[in-house]
Amino acid sequence: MSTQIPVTVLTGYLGAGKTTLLNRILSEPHGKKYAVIVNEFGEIGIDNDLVVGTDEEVFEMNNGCICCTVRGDLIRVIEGLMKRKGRFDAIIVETTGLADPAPVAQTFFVDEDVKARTSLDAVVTVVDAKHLPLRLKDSKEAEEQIAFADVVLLNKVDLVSPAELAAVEATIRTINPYARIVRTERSNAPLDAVLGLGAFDLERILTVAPEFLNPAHGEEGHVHDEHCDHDHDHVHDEHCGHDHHHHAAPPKNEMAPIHDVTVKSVSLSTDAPLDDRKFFAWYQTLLQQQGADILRSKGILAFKGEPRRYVVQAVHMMADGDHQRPWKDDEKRTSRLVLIGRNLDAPALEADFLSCVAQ
Amino acid sequence: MTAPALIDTIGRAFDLPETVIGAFWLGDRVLFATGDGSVTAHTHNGEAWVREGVHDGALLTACAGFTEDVLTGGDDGRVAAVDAQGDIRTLGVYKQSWIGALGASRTAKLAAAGVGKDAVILSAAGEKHRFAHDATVTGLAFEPNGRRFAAAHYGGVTISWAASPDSRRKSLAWKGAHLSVIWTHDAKFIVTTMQEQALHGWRLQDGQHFRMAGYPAKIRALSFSNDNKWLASAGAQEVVLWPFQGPNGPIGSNAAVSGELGAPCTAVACHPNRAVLAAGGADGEIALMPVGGGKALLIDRPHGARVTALAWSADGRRLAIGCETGRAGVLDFTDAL
Repeated sequence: MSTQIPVTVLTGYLGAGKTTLLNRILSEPHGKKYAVIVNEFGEIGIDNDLVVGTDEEVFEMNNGCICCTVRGDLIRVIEGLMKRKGRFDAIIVETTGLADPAPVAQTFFVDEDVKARTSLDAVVTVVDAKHLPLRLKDSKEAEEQIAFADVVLLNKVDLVSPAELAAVEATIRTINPYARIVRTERSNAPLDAVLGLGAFDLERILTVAPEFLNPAHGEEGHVHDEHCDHDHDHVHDEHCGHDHHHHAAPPKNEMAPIHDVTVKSVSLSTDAPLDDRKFFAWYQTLLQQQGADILRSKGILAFKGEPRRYVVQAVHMMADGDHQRPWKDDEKRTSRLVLIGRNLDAPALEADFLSCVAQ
Repeated sequence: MTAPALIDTIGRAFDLPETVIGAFWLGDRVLFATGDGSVTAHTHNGEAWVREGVHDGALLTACAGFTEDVLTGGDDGRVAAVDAQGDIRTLGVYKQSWIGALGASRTAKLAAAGVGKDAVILSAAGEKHRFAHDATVTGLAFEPNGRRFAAAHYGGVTISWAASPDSRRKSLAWKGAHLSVIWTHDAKFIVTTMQEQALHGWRLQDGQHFRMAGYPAKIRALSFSNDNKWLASAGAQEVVLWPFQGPNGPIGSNAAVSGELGAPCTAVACHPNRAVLAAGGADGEIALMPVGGGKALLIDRPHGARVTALAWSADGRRLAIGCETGRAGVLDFTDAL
């Protein structure tokens, strides 16, 4: 009936720079009105914007299934906001530093009213470049917030050395290779890097993670293109699997503090067309059985006999998928599925994924 | 050829500024509370008055008041009472709280308002008592004699004595988020609507509880039939009716259904003295159906917007309707029923 209001979820550890980012968003002359849902009334509040304070209230449904865990306060606030249309253009939800982002994201899949009236635009995680290694040591939330992110705002980059910065970026990449990393100093990100991304929109999934169909830097098969956010000093081709000195990987002798990281990603791909029935049977079972460990997954799939790309994405067990535009003639029909989570058995997942190839 | 709709023959439709939150008859006037914060009164013949800005912000909830008035709660933290003449009184103001749950008892001359995790008991003189709960209070209802009230919240329902905060309270626990609560007329059972597509019920005498599930959509409305034998519920295309006639209520019984709508039911109101009910759906269709099933009469055609309010006048002669888009109407059944 009415258009869906975009919702941006802003996460990040205490002191990372969320409030600074929020104030920056609200004070820029964008001509838009935002409804901001915060955990506590801080130094936020710009005329014309509606700031709503809530207590984060996590609802377990269906007897405590982790994947049906939602934020009850968000449901109520969004229902309340929707009682008056046209008062704002978008909603921003700021979570507390210790918040698990899953219930926030799942709210947009589980509650029928929220689902009908709003669309989750992106999860933006603000990370303090200086303190991230410490945060990763003492909390699992910091790691999960990165794992859930569509955009990681790597903040306070002016406070770290190039080597520290490289190490911290490498750590982020270890947890979540497909989030877009935006380096900032005082949360000074351009608005279009954090708002209006459509990261959960199946039509636009690739614009947020352009690297998606493309194996990560350093991985076999990586293709550099206009989306690579670094300068090219030589021509890369499909076979360049070597380390790039300009890439944000830690210098060889300086290990990234990845020993504190329990979340990792597994990237599965094949150029052989998949059997859709086999794939869905496997993927659904996988999410049912290991959904608690799989924080997010995203995939673009080429099914046998199907001219269109199939795009799928999930938060824990909550999956959403649809056919998208047709594959282009000159486009390589690579099926790719990325899982970000804990306790992922990469070889077993790969074997199962490859068993979905159409005979 | 389109089917004739009763709104065209015995009714009158009009547009209100915003989502209709609730409609309440006070004599021959009906007060519509709308999401923009205003209250509009209509008679069968036309608009009687409009009061804008009853709330400085969104009007979130409304209920029949404890005198001849209507109570409204808003995101401005205010609990207001509006009477048939359009006079507005403020019963309480709770800054930085959203008032999203209200209940009232005419017998006890008290109201209850959800203020965060507290239920505040209000009289005409203002706040009387405060009752803390473990989670945000999302639904409130007084028992018919007005002495106790039930608060729905995450994790179950808490029953408290409205006049004595120090008296022993009763906790009815069931995992999950309970959104609204209703008592049976004899106060023997309590039923909640849940965040899940289910109802949960308790028999108060022994705490025996029961789950009523199988709905395809959220259950947004409950209404007892005129003889109190059936609890009519929204949440499915058919109006689902649970039996409450015996000592066991619906425990061990199956639900019955009345007529079917073209989309999931979002509002239901049983007639106060006849075995018929009005039901409205997610697409705007409203029908009049016999409680036990049978031929339905079309009240309003589907227009795409969810029906949010249905209210019979106390004598059952008039029906008020309201939708998400602000479409509203009144019908006079004097010669039709």
